[in-house]
Amino acid sequence: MSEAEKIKKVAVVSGKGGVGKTSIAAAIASILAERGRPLIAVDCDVDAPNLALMFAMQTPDMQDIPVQATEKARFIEANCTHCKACIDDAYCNFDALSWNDERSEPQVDPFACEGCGSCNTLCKAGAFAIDQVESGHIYTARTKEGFLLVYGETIIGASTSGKLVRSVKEHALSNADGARFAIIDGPPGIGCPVIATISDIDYVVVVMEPFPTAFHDASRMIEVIKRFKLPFGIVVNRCNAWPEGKKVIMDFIDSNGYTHLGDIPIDLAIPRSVVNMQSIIMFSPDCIASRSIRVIYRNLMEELGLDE
Amino acid sequence: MRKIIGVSGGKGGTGKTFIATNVALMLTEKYRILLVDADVENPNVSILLNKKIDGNGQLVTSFFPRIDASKCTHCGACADACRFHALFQMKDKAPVLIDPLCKSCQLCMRVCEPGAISADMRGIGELFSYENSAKLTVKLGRLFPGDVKTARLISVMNEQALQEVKADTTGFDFVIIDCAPGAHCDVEKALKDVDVVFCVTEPTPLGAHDLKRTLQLAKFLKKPAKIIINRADMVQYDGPIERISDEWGAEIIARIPLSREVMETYARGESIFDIHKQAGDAADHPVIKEFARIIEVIEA
Repeated sequence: MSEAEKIKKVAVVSGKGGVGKTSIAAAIASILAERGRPLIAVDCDVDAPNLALMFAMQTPDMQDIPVQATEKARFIEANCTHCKACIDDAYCNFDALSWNDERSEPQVDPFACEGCGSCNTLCKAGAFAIDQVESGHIYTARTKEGFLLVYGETIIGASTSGKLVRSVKEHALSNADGARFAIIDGPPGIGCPVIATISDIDYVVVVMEPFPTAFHDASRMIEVIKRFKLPFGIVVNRCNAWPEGKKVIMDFIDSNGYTHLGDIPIDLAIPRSVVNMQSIIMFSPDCIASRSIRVIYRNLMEELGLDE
Repeated sequence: MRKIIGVSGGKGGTGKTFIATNVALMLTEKYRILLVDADVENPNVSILLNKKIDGNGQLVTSFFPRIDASKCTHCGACADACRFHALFQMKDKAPVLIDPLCKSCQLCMRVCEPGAISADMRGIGELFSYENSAKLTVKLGRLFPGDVKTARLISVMNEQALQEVKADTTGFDFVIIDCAPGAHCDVEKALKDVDVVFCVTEPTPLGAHDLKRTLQLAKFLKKPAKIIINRADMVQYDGPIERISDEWGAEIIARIPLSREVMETYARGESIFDIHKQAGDAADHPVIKEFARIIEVIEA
């Protein structure tokens, strides 16, 4: 397979939440689809997956694969000798073990447990087992536009977002038959799930808004992206919301020599498209936001070294 | 102390920090408040308070194994014990640590019989604490970019905040905890000790979907929840949020209208409440009226 035939993986991230990642990812996916370029859309925001909603897809209609990406300790009462070494020698470094005085035995807090296996390895009586537990689901279906959409969703309390993100990406890419693009909607933040999202990515789209909060969070995101030496470009959403802030962003981009993929002005067609569960490109193909995103799309293709 | 209030909501960008900060400022009219910014990946409370966080905070460290190759017998026990595959054992060599996979459980150090592994305590982030005014103390944690141990930072910060609150000397009336977006382990940790969860949402299918997950988390943690709809008049989507409210027994306590003024004060790091208090027209302001409803619920 030549370099040009490989699937191009593009992730959309922002640091801050609610600045337009999902709307922009959905719009780029729609533009690729309308141009007949084979793609797969992937939602890696496993704590609040919303990309499927932009294509009016509901969970019950989708193929559902349960994922066991997490492990938790389980106390086995029958084996316990009540020696209390697990507490006295602090087997658990995550405060997941506590002593139940009434029963004179330890108890496991499944929230706090990271499944590290210390209790299981260190308890000589064998009073702790490590179980695989269901941590989330991977949902897959074809959109009306004809491309495959994959997303993951954690089970509340299962607490392993990063691992599930990796499973979602693996599943999507191994089912991407013939797709030339993977458009990946990322989670907010700069921690574990985001790092899992952007590992092995060909290009990162960073969405900013001209507010100090969004600028601050996106700058922190860029620090992480640079650490992983990934190419990236910046989109300024709601670019006309606050001219002073827009100027700060443009100075930031110019002085660092970063790539500016384009701007999207405030357009109430976007929240209306969200309520209608359609990407802005499907909902209002010629509105100002759609036209702006088409420019961003062209610049993105150029960055990837491809024709539009 | 009367109450600990968690501000969460699921979706990002619905206005959690805006609401937590302005509610805290309004409460300082009558009370002493501790405001905890528990979004350690991107702490934004101080930006809205127009307070620059400079210099070094209190360093929070986390365990990583340091391997002394001269003592290592290449037995592989540490690599076998590590369930996160953070140690890679090569033939006839000391194991190699793959840093981002390490969760700091210390099991490798415990199982190493020749004692070749010691603790390498590395900084993962910083804690800051300041008095924004005589009546408002702010605490925040800030993760170093590239690090992943957010849960540890939140635990340390919450533990400190709670200790201060529980110590009689501090005398805070209310504690407000601003959470990260999502419904993951960091949010769980932040909400562990709250008395009530305020779920901030927006009137869209995305807001509704993520709101349900936060309500599920609140139920899971056995905490009562209330709903605040931000930018309530942006689009017509009241019905579905009202149905969720009924279904989960979480009352909608405020509907904050979309406002250009809010956007501008937010951008400048000003408080819409402070501006109108000084102008003397706070009581009639459509946004502040909704905040007053939130305050009533808190005081009740």
